[in-house]
Parts: sequence; structure tokens; C-alpha cells
Amino acid sequence: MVDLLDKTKKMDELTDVRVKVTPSDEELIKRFQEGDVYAFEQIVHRYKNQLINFVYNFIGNRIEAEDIIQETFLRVYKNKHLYRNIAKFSTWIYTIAGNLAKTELRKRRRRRLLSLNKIGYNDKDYDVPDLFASPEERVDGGMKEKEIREKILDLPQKFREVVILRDIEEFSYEEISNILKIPIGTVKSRVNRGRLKLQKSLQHLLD
Amino acid sequence: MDPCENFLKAIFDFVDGELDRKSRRELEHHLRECSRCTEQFNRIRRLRNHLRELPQMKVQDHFMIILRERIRREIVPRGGAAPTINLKQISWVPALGLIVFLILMSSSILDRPLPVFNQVHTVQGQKISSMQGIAGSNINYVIDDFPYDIESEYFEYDNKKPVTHIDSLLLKRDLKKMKAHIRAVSF
Repeated sequence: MVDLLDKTKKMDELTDVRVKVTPSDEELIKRFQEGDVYAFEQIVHRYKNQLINFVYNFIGNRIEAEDIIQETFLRVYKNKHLYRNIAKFSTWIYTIAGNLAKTELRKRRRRRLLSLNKIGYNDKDYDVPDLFASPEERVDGGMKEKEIREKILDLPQKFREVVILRDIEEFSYEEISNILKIPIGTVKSRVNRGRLKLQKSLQHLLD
Repeated sequence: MDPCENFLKAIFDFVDGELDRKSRRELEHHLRECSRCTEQFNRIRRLRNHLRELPQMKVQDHFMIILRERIRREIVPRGGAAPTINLKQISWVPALGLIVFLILMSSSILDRPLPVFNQVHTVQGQKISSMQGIAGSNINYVIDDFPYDIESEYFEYDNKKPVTHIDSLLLKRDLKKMKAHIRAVSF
């Protein structure tokens, strides 16, 4: 009995240690706000791949996605004092990355428009964005994955962002509402409409 | 109205795990009887699984190196996390008042000598002062008879009265007085 109690106590201590060595995002940003640069590096380590996944699916270009993530972390570094512990850190950083990605898409649309104007209507050589940058990805990623990502990119922006956040990044509806600053009801309706559109375009994969 | 349309939302909620027990029982009952909704349910579930199973992207290996370099180049030289000014957040009336106040004060401020940072160490009984001049050069002076009491490694002179402080400030005129007591210079 005593042994069992000892074991339980040791387990509790171990759990405590584990909890202590894995600080929450909010603890890390607080430490960074207090001048601990190592805490910032831990934040980067924790979020860099999550964010590239989100932004890459959203804009479809790996190099641009990586630039956006770099810029996101620079903004976190510069504006760390603007984060208040009333919102989850993850929603804050995703809001920054999402806004930068939207800005990039706006720039791209403008570039494409200029490019089309320059070429004229009769030319066939349109400025098509580079959707999948590396040739290795085309081979290794598989056709199914490639097709799914392309169909996600074909979705209108307002449906695409919520579908990615909900079904790929697995955020709750409330978190998505906080990231995009839109009501939960709107998020739900956009997710469902986005899924229906995606379902239609990927029907042969789903039947 | 198509009765199945009511169940479409329930299917989405079910896939999201957000359907309460009662609605879930109703949906399950409906799915047993309606092949069309069952197909729709399966398609949505498969779509969700496909999206979840998409391979996770990873940043390139040198991502962190580039980020550190950009922080060093773009942020740190400006003094750590430099505060950014959002023009929209500025309340213009107090800001204008502050500008006028600063202009009025500037005449008296300009008459005063510029502050010079100074750090004093005691080495083997000798008082050595490392002074940073206006041009930013460090010159070490060995001071024979320092005119003020030194209470700590760092100190501040305020109106000739020594005050212990982390960041030391020495007015230019005090520096001139100090130089009068300098016996030797070491670099």
C-alpha cells in the first residue's frame, strides 16, 4: 500500500515536472515580453510548421508562404508588447499570418491584372501563379494530394480560409471566429458551404 | 421542402462532433432509412478525412538561420523590440501640446552641456575611469585624486552631487573638472 502511494506520488511529481517543462504559448510570450529571447525561439519552433501548412494551403506557393511566415515571426518580435493575455496566443499569431497571406493574394491579383493588361486579350501566355514550386513535391506528394490542394485553392477566399482552419488546422469554430473576427454563425455557414463546394469538385475521390 | 435538407446541417454538426444526443439519435434514425443522406454523410466524412490526412508541410532547414539574421539586421540594431508608432492611436491635441512644450524647453536645454556616459572601476587601489566621449570612443583614464566619493561601480552625477545608479550620467562640465585630476592615461 505504501509502495503504491509512493509510486503515485512519484508519478505526480513526474507529471508536475512535465507540465513545468512544457510551458503554454501564453507563458512563453509573457517570458518573451519580459526579455527572454529563448522563449521567442521556442514559439518559432512550435509554430513554424503549423503556420507554413496554413499559409501554403491558402496561397499555394511554398516560397511565398515561407516569406510570409518569416514576416509573421518578425511582427511577433517587433510587436510583442501588443499581445494581451485576453486572447489565445495561437489565434493572435494566426491572425497575423492570415492577414499577411491575404495581403500577398491582393498583391498577386494586382500583378496578374497588370500582366494581363500588358499581354492583351489575344495572347495565350497568361501569368499563371506558381502553385507547387518544387518538382519533387509533384512526384512525391501524389496526384491525390496535389488535386486536393488545387481544389482547395480553387475555393473562393472566404470559404478557403475557414475550411483550412477548421478541417486541416482543426481549430474550433470559436477560435476561427476570433482569428477572422467574424461571428461563429458565419464561420459555420462558410465552413459548410466550402465543404459542399469542395465535395462537388472532388466527387470522384469521395464516391 | 425537401425533408433531407434539415438533416444536412445535422450531418455537418455530427461530423464536427457538435451534435447533441437527441439530434444525434434523430439523425442516426434518418440515416438508416435514407440512402441519399447516408451517401452525403459518407462523402462529407471522407472529405474531412482526406483534408486531415494531407501531408504536413515543413519549413526549410535554414528557416531559423534566416529569421535570426533578419531579426539581427532589421530589429536589434534599432534597440531590441523597437516600439512602433501607430499614427491612428495618437491623440493629436496632447501631441501638439507636447511638441510646443518641447520647443519652448529646447532653448534652455540647448544651453546645457550634453551628458557623457561614464563608468568607474577600482583596480588595485587606483581609481580608473572609463569615459565614453561624445564621438563614442572609449578612453581609459587613471585618476589620482578623484573629486567625488564613489559608492558603486556605476554612478550618476546630477548637479555635481554623486548618486549611485545603474546607468551613469556625467555632465560635460564635470568631465572637464575630472580631467584636471587625471594623472596618467591608459588604453
